[in-house]
Amino acid sequence: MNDVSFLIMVSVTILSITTLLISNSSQTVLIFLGVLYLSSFLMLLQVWPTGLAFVHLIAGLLSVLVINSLCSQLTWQTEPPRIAMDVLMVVFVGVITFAFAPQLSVYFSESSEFLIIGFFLFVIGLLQVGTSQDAFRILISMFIFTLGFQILYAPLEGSALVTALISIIQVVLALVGSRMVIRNKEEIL
Amino acid sequence: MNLPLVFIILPAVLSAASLVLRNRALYYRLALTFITLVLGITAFILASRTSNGGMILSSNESFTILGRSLNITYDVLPLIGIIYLVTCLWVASTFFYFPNEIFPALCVVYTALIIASLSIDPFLYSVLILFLANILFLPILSYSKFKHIKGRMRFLVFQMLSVFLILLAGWILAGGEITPVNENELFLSSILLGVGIALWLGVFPFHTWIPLLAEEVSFFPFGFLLTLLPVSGIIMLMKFLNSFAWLRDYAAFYPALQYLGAIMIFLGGIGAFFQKSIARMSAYTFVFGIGLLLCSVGFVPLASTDLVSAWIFPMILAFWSISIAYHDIVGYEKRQSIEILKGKFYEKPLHSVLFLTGFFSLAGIPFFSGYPSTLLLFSAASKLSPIFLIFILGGELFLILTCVRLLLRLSFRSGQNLVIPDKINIDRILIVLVILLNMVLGLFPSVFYKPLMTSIMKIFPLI
Repeated sequence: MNDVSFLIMVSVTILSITTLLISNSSQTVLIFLGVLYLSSFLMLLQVWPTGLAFVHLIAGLLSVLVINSLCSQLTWQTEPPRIAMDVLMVVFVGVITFAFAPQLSVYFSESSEFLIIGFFLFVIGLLQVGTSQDAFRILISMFIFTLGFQILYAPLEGSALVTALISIIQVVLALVGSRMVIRNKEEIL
Repeated sequence: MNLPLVFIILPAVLSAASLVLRNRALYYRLALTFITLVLGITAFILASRTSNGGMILSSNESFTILGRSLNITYDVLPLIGIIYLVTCLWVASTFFYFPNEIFPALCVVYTALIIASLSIDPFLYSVLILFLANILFLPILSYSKFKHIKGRMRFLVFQMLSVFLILLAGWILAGGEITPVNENELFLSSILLGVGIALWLGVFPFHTWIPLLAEEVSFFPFGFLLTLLPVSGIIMLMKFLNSFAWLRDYAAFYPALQYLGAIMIFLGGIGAFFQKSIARMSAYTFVFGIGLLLCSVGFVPLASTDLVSAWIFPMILAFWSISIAYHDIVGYEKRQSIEILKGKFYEKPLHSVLFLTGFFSLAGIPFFSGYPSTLLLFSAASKLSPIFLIFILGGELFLILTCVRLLLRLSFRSGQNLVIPDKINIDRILIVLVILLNMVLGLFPSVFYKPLMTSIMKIFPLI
């Protein structure tokens, strides 16, 4: 991956994540999750066969559609302190990632581009899972950190079975998770 | 004949197909009970024939799927037989206790996935299969009046994180099969693996999802999940130890397992004693049981496989007893306070006894299945640091006090008289058989534990 395309990838990832975190509508969140899947597909094309990368893209977009079919009407109030915290989190994790992720290449034999983007998504997803109270946000964060893991793991292992299993897990998680979220929201309302 | 086809693909397909019959509850449940029973018995027959050398089997042990293979060796068959018989017990219980029509079929699919995870080569992928099984099981757990989902979300997050950590650790360790692993890599992979397994099994301090989940889901499927989940997790851990010499030789790994297990035993005992909610009390007892298994693995080379084998039966019986009795006594009540147990002995004597026997087994009370296993654990722990003994004894003591607390609540007399039913329901026969089995295991442990010990030693010869 040359420097320009890496810069574009990083920009798309950071902008998508930031928009996704500060948005107050489920549809906007899902659109940007779809964008993340698309950009990760372009990255994975460099280390995986096209067919396998397509499986990843289709599973991701299918998960987005499944969540959209059940949670499309969800909205929530975004509060300025929360937005500030989320933006700060993106900045903080971004700095940490750029500083330390390349050093992980000692353990994982892959290029620093994959390590940086994968680690960034993984940590952002994990922090969001830990700090969010809202079930929908937790669900979306789980998808973000799965995506981060897939980008980290893809150069290490290009197994069809692993890709198939993770894809099935994503779709089932989307179905089961969004049903739980909707049921939970109905009770709160 | 192909063993993975018989024990993994066929039951999964048959159970999915049996959903067509789900409106005819009796035939549907009967068919699934029969399938699991036959598979369990077949596994034992095949294993005994091959070990006796009396029959030459021509069955294939491997099944290829997407370039990877599912391998079932004849050594693993007794373990598979036990897992299917456990599932059979749970499916048979659905005749009387849990009316959900998808649960029996999903039980069989879950079991098939557990066995797939045991037999997949390379076995690193087993965590992905186990996680898939857990997600598939989640809708059944949600079959209750409780709509808050904090516990379920935490369960999902912890399991997912553990899958990723174990896969990464596995990748580093697998690299060691080609070139030697250096000290840094070993340290990192041990940390990743340790945290992954801890998240998977709900080891302290990641145990919080267990009581939280117990409070918000149906207890019956929760009991089934927590019966098979730790067993599969422990087997996965033992597979790691058996496969990677670097990990076996890593000095810090076994003491870490022993400490974590001992802390879980202590935490489970003390947690159970101080709870006001029966769901949380039972959940902490499950934590205690998982701690026993984890601690047992750490006693390498003293008694690791022996201890794990000795705890599998008591844990399975205890978890079944607690879950069934809880389901009958408490049901789907949103109020789960221990106060509702008052005088239940006079109202539901058999289920109250079953509830107590579950606790007695884990606490290692004499004449129950956990007694010989507790003696074995104490004898192994006494050869190590006294800190282990203090933790384990403390946990046992608090669990025994929990038993006393339950006994007092259940037998609290509030003007009720003991109700003897006019006719005996069939479910009572099942309960009596399980209680008797629990006691027989305590009285004649070598009859049941020895074959399992031999079988597990054959599966993991290097531990």
